[in-house]
Amino acid sequence: QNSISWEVQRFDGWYNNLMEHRWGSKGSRLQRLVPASYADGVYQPLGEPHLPNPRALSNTAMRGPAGLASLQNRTVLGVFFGYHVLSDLVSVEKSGCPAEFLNIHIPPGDPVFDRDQSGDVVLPFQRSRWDPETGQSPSNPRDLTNEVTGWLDGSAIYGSSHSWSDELRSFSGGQLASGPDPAFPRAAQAPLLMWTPPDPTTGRRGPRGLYAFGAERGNREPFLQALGLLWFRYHNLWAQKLARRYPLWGDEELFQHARKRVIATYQNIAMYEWLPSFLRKMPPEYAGYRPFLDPSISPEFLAASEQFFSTMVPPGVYMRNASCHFQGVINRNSSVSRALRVCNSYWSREHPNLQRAEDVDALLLGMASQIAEREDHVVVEDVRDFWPGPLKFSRTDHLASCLLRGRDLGLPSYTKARATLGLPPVTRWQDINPALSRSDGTVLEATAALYNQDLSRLELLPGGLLESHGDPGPLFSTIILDQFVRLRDGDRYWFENSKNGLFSEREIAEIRNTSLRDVLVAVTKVDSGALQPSVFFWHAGDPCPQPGQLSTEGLPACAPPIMRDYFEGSGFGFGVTIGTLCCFPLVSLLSAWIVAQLRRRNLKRLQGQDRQSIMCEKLMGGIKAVEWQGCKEPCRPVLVHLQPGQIHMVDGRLSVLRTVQLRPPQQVNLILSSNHGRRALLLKIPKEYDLVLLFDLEEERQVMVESLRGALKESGLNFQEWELREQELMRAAVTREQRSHLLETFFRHLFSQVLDIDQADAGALPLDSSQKVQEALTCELSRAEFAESLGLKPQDMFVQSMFSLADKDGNGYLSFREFLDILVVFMKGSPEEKSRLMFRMYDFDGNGLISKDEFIRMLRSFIEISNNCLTKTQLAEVVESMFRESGFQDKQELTWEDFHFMLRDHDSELRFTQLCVKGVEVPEVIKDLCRRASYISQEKLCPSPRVSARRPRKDADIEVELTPRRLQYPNDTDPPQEIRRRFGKKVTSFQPLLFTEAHREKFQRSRRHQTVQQFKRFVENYRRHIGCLAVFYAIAGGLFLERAYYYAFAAHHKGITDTTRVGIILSRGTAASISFMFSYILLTMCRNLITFLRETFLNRYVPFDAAVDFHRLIASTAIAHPYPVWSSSVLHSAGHVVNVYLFSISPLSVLSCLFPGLFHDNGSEFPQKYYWWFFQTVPGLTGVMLLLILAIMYIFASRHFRRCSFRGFWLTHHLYILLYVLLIIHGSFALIQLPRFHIFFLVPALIYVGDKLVSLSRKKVEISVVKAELLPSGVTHLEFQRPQGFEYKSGQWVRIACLALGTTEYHPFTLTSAPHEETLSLHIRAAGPWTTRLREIYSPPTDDSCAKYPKLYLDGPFGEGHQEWHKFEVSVLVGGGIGVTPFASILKDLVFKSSVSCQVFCKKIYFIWVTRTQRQFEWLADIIREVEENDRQDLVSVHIYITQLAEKFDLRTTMLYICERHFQKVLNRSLFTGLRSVTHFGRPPFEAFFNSLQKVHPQVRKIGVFSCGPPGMTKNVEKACQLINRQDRTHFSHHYENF
Amino acid sequence: FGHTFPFYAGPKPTFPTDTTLAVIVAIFLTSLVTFIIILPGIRGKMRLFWMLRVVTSLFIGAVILAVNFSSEWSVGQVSTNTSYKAFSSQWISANVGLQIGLGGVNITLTGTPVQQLNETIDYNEEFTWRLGENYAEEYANALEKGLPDPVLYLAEKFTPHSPCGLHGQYRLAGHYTSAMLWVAFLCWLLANVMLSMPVLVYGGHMLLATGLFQLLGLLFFSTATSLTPPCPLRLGAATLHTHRGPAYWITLTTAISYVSSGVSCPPPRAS
Ligand SMILES: Cc1cc2nc3c(=O)[nH]c(=O)nc-3n(C[C@H](O)[C@H](O)[C@H](O)COP(=O)(O)OP(=O)(O)OC[C@H]3O[C@@H](n4cnc5c(N)ncnc54)[C@H](O)[C@@H]3O)c2cc1C
Ligand SMILES: NC(=O)C1=CN([C@@H]2O[C@H](COP(=O)(O)OP(=O)(O)OC[C@H]3O[C@@H](n4cnc5c(N)ncnc54)[C@H](OP(=O)(O)O)[C@@H]3O)[C@@H](O)[C@H]2O)C=CC1
Ligand code: HEM
Ligand code: HEM
Ligand SMILES: [Ca+2]
Ligand SMILES: [Ca+2]
Ligand code: NA
Ligand code: NA
Repeated sequence: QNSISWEVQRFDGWYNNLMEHRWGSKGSRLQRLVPASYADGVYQPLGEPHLPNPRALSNTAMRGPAGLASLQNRTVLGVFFGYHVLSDLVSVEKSGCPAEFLNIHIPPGDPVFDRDQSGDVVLPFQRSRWDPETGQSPSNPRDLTNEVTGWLDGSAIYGSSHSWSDELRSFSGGQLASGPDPAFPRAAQAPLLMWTPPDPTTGRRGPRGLYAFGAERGNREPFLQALGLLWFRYHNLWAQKLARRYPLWGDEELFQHARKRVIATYQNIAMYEWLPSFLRKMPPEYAGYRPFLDPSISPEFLAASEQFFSTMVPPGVYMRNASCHFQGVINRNSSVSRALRVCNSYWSREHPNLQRAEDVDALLLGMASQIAEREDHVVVEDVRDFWPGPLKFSRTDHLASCLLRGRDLGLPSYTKARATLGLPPVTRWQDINPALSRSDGTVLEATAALYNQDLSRLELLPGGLLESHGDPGPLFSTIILDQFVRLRDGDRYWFENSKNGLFSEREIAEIRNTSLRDVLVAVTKVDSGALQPSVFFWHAGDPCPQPGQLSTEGLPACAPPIMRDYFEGSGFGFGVTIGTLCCFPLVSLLSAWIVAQLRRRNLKRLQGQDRQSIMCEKLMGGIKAVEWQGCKEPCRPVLVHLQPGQIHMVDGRLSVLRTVQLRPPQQVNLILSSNHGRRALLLKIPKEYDLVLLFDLEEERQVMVESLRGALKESGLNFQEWELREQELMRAAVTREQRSHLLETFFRHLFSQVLDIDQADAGALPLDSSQKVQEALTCELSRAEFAESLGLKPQDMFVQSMFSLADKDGNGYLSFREFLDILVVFMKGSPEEKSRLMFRMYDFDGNGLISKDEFIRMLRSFIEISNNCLTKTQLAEVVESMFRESGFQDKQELTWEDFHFMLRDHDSELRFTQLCVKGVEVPEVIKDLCRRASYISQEKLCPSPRVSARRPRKDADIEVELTPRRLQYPNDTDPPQEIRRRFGKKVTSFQPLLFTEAHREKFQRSRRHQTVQQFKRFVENYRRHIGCLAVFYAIAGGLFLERAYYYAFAAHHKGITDTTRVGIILSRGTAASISFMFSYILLTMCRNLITFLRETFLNRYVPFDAAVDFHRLIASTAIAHPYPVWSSSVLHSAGHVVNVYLFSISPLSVLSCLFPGLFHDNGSEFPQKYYWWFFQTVPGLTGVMLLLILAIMYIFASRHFRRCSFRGFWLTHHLYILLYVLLIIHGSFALIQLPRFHIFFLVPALIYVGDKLVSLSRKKVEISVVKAELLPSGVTHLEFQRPQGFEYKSGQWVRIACLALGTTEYHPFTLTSAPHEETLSLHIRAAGPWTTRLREIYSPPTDDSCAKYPKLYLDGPFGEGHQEWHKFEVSVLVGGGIGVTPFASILKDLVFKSSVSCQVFCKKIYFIWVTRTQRQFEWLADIIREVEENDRQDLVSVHIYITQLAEKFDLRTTMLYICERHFQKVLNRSLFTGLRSVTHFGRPPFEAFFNSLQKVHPQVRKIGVFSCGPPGMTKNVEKACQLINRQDRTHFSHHYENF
Repeated sequence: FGHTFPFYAGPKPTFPTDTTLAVIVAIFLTSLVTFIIILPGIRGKMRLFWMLRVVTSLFIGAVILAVNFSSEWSVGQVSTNTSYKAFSSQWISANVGLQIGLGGVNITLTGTPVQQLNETIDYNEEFTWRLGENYAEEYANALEKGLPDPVLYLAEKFTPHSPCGLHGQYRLAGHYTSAMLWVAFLCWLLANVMLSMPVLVYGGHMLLATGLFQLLGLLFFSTATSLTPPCPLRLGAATLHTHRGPAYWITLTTAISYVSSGVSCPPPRAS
């Protein structure tokens, strides 16, 4: 049967009162007696100037000497028993969240706290925890909460919660757990248990040496501790007694029975022995339990009781044994003194005098004999000046703190309290304490002065104290008595309440007459004789009188206050940590540099080997070096061979890069670099651009210099040598690039008239170094150089013929002068001169006669330009017939006269734009050639030779003197077309003519206009890019602002803003934008998705092709943009570094508010060190790792590093996986707020993984390269075999990876081969690192060793490749800029399909190619020529519009312009490009063109328009179509093609 | 129905089992049923193979999810006599059960017999400490609601500032173990996707990853929950001891099976 027959009282005070379950429970509100008086009526405390400075008040009203004995002879035991009871009833010392401070400004010159008169000492005071439902509005002002049970229920012994009491119990024999010595409780080890502040005297910290009590602050002094130990022993005593009496009872029963008894005894002594000793009157007799009485503790009671005990605390406490021997006390410095100094024993651990149980007994007995301090307004310095300080200061003023606590509580004024409690009002300051004003009036006057005589402002606390004289004043007594009576009558578990079934009447009576002395006798080995019956008083005749009233003399001085610096000693470490974080990028830069060096060394070794292996068989004596081609150009490794009269330069694959002729009487200059390891060499050779060589070591350079000297002497050249610093050397060198630029500018100057620009706009010649200009003009173009600058292949016939023609001195170089002469002749020479020029041009062997085969070669050069549709034999026949017709059939050679005679008939033609072959009945083939060349009607443009020949010469109006001076035609339309129409030259039949004149913009010289144009062009082209960037950064910015707003204005409840304001706003704001940026960066790399989306309409709004650029931009803004100052991650880390510093100087009480899950305020006050935040927290450690990873990724992904080691980049880049894992962990700890990164990350991550899965399952095809050709202007033409079953439509593109350049780096290129061809071909322009390296790898090997080309991975085909143009009878294809690439394949496909099957519906295709310059598109001209050849049915009509401003023409465009405008066409083909199509100079007139198209094809209802190019252009085409369609004649349906 | 209003009498119906478990089982059953419906579409021998594969993979998925939400990670049960409610000194004999899951704790009190003090004593109270929940508030509400003493006693043990420190320990363990299990679930999803794609070898790796993450979660749970000394749970005269619950063992067994199947997958062919 269960022996616990009564309802066991709960530990947390709940469910005591039937109606109000919460009354008296732990955590409930203090119940005010008087309405609150706050400054704002709600929660702001009153303060200066309305109320006096607390320290000043304490110094004036409560200062006084120790040693005045209590008038009623109350003992010190009573005081500390009172403190123990108070700790059972109320505790408001836990600081509130969010932290609020009321600081005590110490008046300058304060003897204790401001000894060095600095005047700026401030003691921090933190407000206490309050009920969050209060303090928000005036009718419900702030109420503080009680941390312990309000009942007198022994919570100071057993704790205020069941789990707290479980920690104190041993669970055996119903006893409380003891440590090694059974008389002492277990140590306070459990971290969450006892209050463990640092010892203000010794500074010792940590829980060791403190005991586990029911009251959290039970270890404040040894004297309070003694009381705790007393009750601890008393409980165990009862448990043992009960265990002996009832051996069958279990631990629970023994414990609860003992507990019931101890609580009852505690209640009895406190109520009926201790309280009367203070109030000197007995509380009214217990009249039974009153369930409707509110027992709650009032804030007024807290203030009143706390104050009253503090005035009675003595400076020291005696220790005596049972035989009244008052023992000496050994102090810290081993001196002996009469008593334990109170101020040096606060929170003392393992005090030397209190090690054994007997010492505690001695202390208890000592306290029973010692008379307390007088009950007056004077408080000893141990309490007033040396009370243990809560924050940063080891000491504080307890009175000043209690004053502030009163203001924190919003206590009423003294007069208001008296009025409310029904005490007679006090009107004059003296009436507060007449006895005091008589004995020492100054205190009241001084206090009145502080409150500037306004009695109504006097606070409750000082008033209560001043009131008391020998006894608590009427106000304090009333408050205390009322509180205890309510606690007794309202408590269902009061021991005298027989209805609660706790005790029988007998037991109640037994408890009623147990006094504290009985308890003392029971728990100590002392017999009752050694103690007076009522231990709260010591009257004469009681045993062991105290030797004397203790005062501060003869006691050790109090340890002075010290300032605790939480950051002490970690300043240096903190700086070092930040330093290391900052040089993460430097570390990774260093490692990147090392990797680059390693790669460069083994690259050289690699090249060295294969060069050695090949070298040995072939040429000997080559010197290894690196040719420097200009600061922006990459250096290329070369091998230099010196032969007599020649310097021979060869690349790694031994293909000849450059040969320099050394012929006297050239004056050669050799310049050597004098610094940077003296490893550079500059060779200036007239007529050649300079040669700059870099060597690894100076010795190698020396070898080169010696052999050079030898070679130059051999070839009889004199040369000068001198030295320059390397930078100057490089600046002085004229690189090939500079020279060709110089030439172009020079050409424009020369042909300014022809190009219809004035000289000033033709580009600035570098006049500063005139010497350089002279050199440029005297230098000569080699054949290869000449071809390159014209964008032609060296072996082109035009180049051959022009070269042989112009190279008068036959030195294999084309001097500038020579080139100029023929051009001038071509442009303004008379027919004779032109035919003499032609004659000399084709007199290959220069003997002044043209042989038959030279004539054949001449014809072939014309025909070849028109794609040699004549076989050799046919050509021979033609020549025979021509000779026969002019009567020279027996001549083997023609003189110039013969030659001119043959062409005589056509001299007029020579003036016009056609050079048709004269005289003979032109064989059908050639006629056919002429016919096809015209783009509209056959007759008009290329009349059969016979007809044109007859035209009378003196047709003046068309006599156009093609002289360089400005031609009279409207400058924005191109001349030939216009002439015919404008001047009404009658054409055979009225054929509507296609309006194709280009619209030429005037060159605006003003700088401002040019930049505006450029800007407009930029915006037009990159509208989509700007839009997307704006949206992206708007979102990122928005996220930043949202978090910044939240933490600046909306998060005050968290309190973190007050601690680190800027730091938290910055770090959380950037955290949000980082989360967004780092998540959505993944979308830029979903290649398959992007490939799909770029075909949809979305491509008009989102530039999918720029995904890679977008990726780089986001990454750099998210990591460390070139201006690291505002990049998010760095800002975020900087924000948190500030946070870490502020957290490591904030006290634990503040930190436990900010991070409730992480820190529990146990009074130890010291926060964690900075390195704990950085390396021992989840966000800190992962944050540092994130910084490291980002530094590595950022450096290794830079353009420079990617160029020199792609593998390094690719490996380090895959750290992004670890980056994301760390980012998720980073926020997972929810230190400041719930993690949000995964919310951003989930969607893009899933898409990216899906994309990766798709590319995983795509099979990669490995193919070998059939042919690789290096075309001019850095274009590489790759032809590779077509994997079987590879079907594609024209215009589609593929992604290729080159095995030698990393098997995972893919790049997209449009197929320029047509679907019917058996090989696939690409034209790749060298744009960046990958494409440039590709060109180097596929540079042609020496002819004999067919070194195998590295293989390619092919993926694709991609792109819709929609083919609607077949459906239109007439369609117009408009290609602009790089948008033209797909049209190469489309045109070939069209021509092939139309020639093969007649069911192709379309009859006419107009291809308009709009490009600023043909640079990097020369190969397209070849393809167009091929198309023109295969186009039997005259299906395709091509128009080329060069929109480059004349003032900006490069050499090729200049030549093109001259040939198109002024030079005769050969067989209706431009001699220069060999194209039949006309090249216009200016923007295409879309409207006019479409309009004329309607006239030309009146019967066609629908015309398809397909445009692909810069948005500006496609927009114009769209506008033109809409305009025309409004006239609803022919309908132009426009398609935005996106290849 | 005479004069009484029809449905208002009698005990309110309560859902028999744990709701989240029911939801998970429902989801996986429906997906199983949908698969069975499309099963006839697959011909011949493959049908059996696919049936087997789908059933096992659905089972694995259900287990990972169920375990994540179950509260059977650390369980304890004791039958004892304890005080029952306020304002009464009567004691009851009852089974007090404690099921600690990843996101919170379930405290059960079932009277032996259920009908005592003419009351039905059958309580199952849940207190959560998942991220974003506030356990202290839930306990304060429970105190105000007036739950039976043993339930309040055990619930108080897990409050944030209770001396034992169980709250911090189990919250941290639950948070990161649950995270690991979610990652394992994602790996399982990926494994399924990959196994249905011609990339068998990666699927095997993913299965291995699923198992490893589960093991990692288990390791984290057991280490995190054994940091501080055991907390005394005294109910009346008896002491309640907790031990690893079924969810823990199920996770362990499934983890080991995935790891072994993942490892035994065909070695990656030379790609
Ligand atoms: C559909 C399409 C068709 C193309 N067709 C041709 C073509 O026929 N001939 C040709 O010479 N070039 C073509 N390009 C451009 C070619 O892909 C880039 O010039 C090449 O990838 C540059 O790489 P890089 O590393 O040498 O230069 P980088 O310096 O890395 O980049 C230079 C530019 O190329 C773009 N780019 C770089 N890498 C990629 C990539 N993986 N995917 C997409 N864009 C990238 C970037 O936007 C950047 O602005 C095409 C691009 C696309 C999207
Ligand atoms: N949508 C698509 O499928 C593709 C779009 N592009 C886009 O093309 C853009 C730039 O390519 P890029 O080769 O440098 O082009 P350019 O800027 O060099 O311009 C190409 C040609 O188009 C002409 N042009 C430009 N705007 C207009 C206009 N409003 N009206 C008439 N003609 C115009 C230019 O003449 P002028 O010199 O007088 O401006 C130039 O001759 C890139 O942004 C690229 O994204 C590229 C390929 C495909
Ligand atoms: C300044 C920094 C960065 C630069 C310059 C950069 C540049 C690049 C480049 C050039 C590529 C290869 C594109 C291609 O050829 O297919 C790439 C791929 C990639 N980058 Fe970055 N990147 C940077 C930072 C980052 C960051 C911070 C992340 C992730 C958080 C990231 C994630 C990726 C991913 C996922 C890929 C695709 C890899 C793959 O396809 O396997 N990058 N980056
Ligand atoms: C010394 C370095 C760093 C420190 C001390 C640090 C610290 C922190 C802290 C304390 C948080 C709040 C976590 C929480 O509320 O639980 C946080 C969040 C965050 N940090 Fe850092 N961090 C650092 C570096 C970085 C870097 C380099 C990045 C960028 C890659 C980054 C990205 C983030 C993100 C995205 C969040 C938000 C996480 C979320 O909301 O889920 N941090 N950081
Ligand atoms: Ca020459
Ligand atoms: Ca000759
Ligand atoms: Na109490
Ligand atoms: Na005093």
